[in-house]
Amino acid sequence: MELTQLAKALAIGIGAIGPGIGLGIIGGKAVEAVGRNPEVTGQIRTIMILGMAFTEAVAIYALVISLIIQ
Amino acid sequence: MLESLGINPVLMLAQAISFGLLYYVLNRFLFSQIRGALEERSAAVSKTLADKTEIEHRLQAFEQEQKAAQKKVAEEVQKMMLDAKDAAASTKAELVAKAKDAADAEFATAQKRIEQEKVAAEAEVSKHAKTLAQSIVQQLLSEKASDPQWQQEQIKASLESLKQSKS
Amino acid sequence: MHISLKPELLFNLGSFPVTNSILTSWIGTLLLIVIAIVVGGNFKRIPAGIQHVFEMVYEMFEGMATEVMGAAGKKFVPLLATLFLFIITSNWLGVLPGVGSLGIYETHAAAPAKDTHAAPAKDAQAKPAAKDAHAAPAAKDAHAAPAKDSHAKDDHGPVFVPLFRGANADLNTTFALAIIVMVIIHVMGIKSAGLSHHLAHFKNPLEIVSEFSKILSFGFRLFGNVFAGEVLLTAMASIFVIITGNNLLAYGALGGFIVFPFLMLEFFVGFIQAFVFAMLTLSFLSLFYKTENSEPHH
Repeated sequence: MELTQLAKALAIGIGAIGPGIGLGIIGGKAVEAVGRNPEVTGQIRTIMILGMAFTEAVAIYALVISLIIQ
Repeated sequence: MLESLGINPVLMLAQAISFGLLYYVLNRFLFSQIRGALEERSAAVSKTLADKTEIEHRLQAFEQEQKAAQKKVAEEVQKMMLDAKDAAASTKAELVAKAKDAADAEFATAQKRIEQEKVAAEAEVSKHAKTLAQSIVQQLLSEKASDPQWQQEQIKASLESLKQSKS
Repeated sequence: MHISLKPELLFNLGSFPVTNSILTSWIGTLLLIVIAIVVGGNFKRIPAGIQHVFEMVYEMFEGMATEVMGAAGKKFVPLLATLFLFIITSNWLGVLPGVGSLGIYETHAAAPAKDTHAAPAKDAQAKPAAKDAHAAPAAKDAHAAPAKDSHAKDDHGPVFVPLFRGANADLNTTFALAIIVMVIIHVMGIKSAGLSHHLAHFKNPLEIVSEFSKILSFGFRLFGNVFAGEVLLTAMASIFVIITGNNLLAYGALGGFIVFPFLMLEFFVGFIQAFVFAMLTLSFLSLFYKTENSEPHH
């Protein structure tokens, strides 16, 4: 019981590290790109949101795993 | 695993079918109309744009025409002025020439008259001189004829001149 | 606090199990169909109101499709727009107060008969605060019973079964969408490039695995986001109840205030996930769909 709860916590906790870093990189790079050429802000935003959705999905998988663990 | 995730093929199929139905209805009742409206709108917009360019073209052409007409008018006016100038100049020259001709003719007739008068005067003078000389010669002859010596001398002189002219 | 990973069974329609998530998805679909017929019925040349929204969505995807695939992308716009509209409607319906909190208590007997003595008056007021009022009993229930789902065999009192559940908080829905999309992508790929040409993409067996992983990633992404959103909302709304262990009405009201920004977040996530689903469909389509004049983009 205790170990199951630990497993759940670890699954989402460790699983969120990578996507967290990735989201930070994506956001930072997007800001850099917008700063470099602000006239394509709209396109950059779209690409950024797509990339973020991909990255976030990894964390979501971890969440699903942590929810599956019974 | 599948059971714990709640996956049920029947439910999945039901969702797929309902999605398909939704797709059909949306496409049939909404998207077709939207597509038509968008196409119509874009056609209208492009037509408006084409009209605009056409109008602009026409306006430009009209302006050019106007400009050309103005230019033509200006040129014509200039040409007319030049023509008038030319005409004036030619008339002047003509007039001058005519005047000159007239003057020349006048001059010529005047000269002729002078000449004629001169000739006439000369003739008169020579006539007068002839008659004068005749009368003088008659007088002299009548005076000298009585003198035989003079007669002889006279004959001699004339013979002499004859001889001279013969040689 | 416990939220079941799988949808709860409400009743059986013949042999067809009607779950709360499929009920919500039917409601969403019906709503969209009615709106589509109403809007399509009196379609105006100058758009106004909701017609404008639909036109905006359609134009947005048309612009993207033509950007990615050229003129050939235009015929996929209805699919993309339908996906987007269905997912966003389901997501936003799932965020609405009452979904997940309005429900019935089932004393689990043999028959799936519904015990409609529940759904108290507190819940009827459609407020975010209402959300936690029921999460709490459910939570207590879950704590008490080690068996997690509503199909718990041993009857530890009545089990709370929400009447509605976000349609995309159900793997059946998301996988149905993912499988539809992948089938369409491959059918269109075969149609446009020919079977042999299309199969040439899969010389490497890893490519086949990647196609299946696309389905998984499609399904789990949408499900995970929406489900996590629901968990988050419930957790935030009932946070005081969870921390203190007291089931007070004041905590519910407080939870309503706390949950508000997260509600906004969930509306945003609902939009983003719908958009991402459609965009990914488009980009996977462009991977295999061969246009006449040019190689597909990447």
